[in-house]
Amino acid sequence: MKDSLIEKFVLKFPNDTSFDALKAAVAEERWDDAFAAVHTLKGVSLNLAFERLGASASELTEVLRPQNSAGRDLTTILGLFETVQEDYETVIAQLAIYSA
Amino acid sequence: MKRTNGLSGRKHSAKRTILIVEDNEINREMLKEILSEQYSVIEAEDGLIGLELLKKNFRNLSLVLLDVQMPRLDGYGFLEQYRNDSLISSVPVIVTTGNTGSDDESRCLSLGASDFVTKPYNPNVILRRIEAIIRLRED
Repeated sequence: MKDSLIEKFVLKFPNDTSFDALKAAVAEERWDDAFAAVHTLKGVSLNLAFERLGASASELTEVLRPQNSAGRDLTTILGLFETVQEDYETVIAQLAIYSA
Repeated sequence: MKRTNGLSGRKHSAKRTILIVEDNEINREMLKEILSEQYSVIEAEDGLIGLELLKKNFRNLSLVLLDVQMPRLDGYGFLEQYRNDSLISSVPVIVTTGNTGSDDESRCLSLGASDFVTKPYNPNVILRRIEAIIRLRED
């Protein structure tokens, strides 16, 4: 992805709703909705070159993928979500500094 | 007509039109930015709207860029309806997704997609693949 293209869109990321949708779905244990939200978060993060967030979102995506529902456990999901949340908050904090 | 480079032989006529079906606004806007210099773009934010726009505009569309994970009707559902309709299935589809598994790729191709590109978007790869698919269809 060209840097100029990323720069043009990166400051829109704080308005993206996929993390909020993921957080709400995890809190209510709506796993299909959580999968859809984290899958979207992964795609946006990859496109904007947020590598750590893209990687943690990718890991959670695979655990929440409907085909993998048999092997899921809540502790694993919550642990991976916590990492996604930390990575997301880091990106948001960095963007706040960048745009200040 | 002499083709000098890609599809540039048509540069003096109207731009070809591509339908982007992608629910995430940032991803959709990025695709639009990548395409806008060479193509006209129409947009849909989920598979249902995408299918409606494809049925309405298939005569004027050169290609569809289709996301997989979407609300209401996902990319697989879109393709299942697409492949059973001989009119709209005349418009080629390239699937765009964050999935990198070969199962997803195989499933999309078996449902009639012409090609598959993964996120992060590589503008050059996307433009070259679009150009190749359109040229194949028009030749």
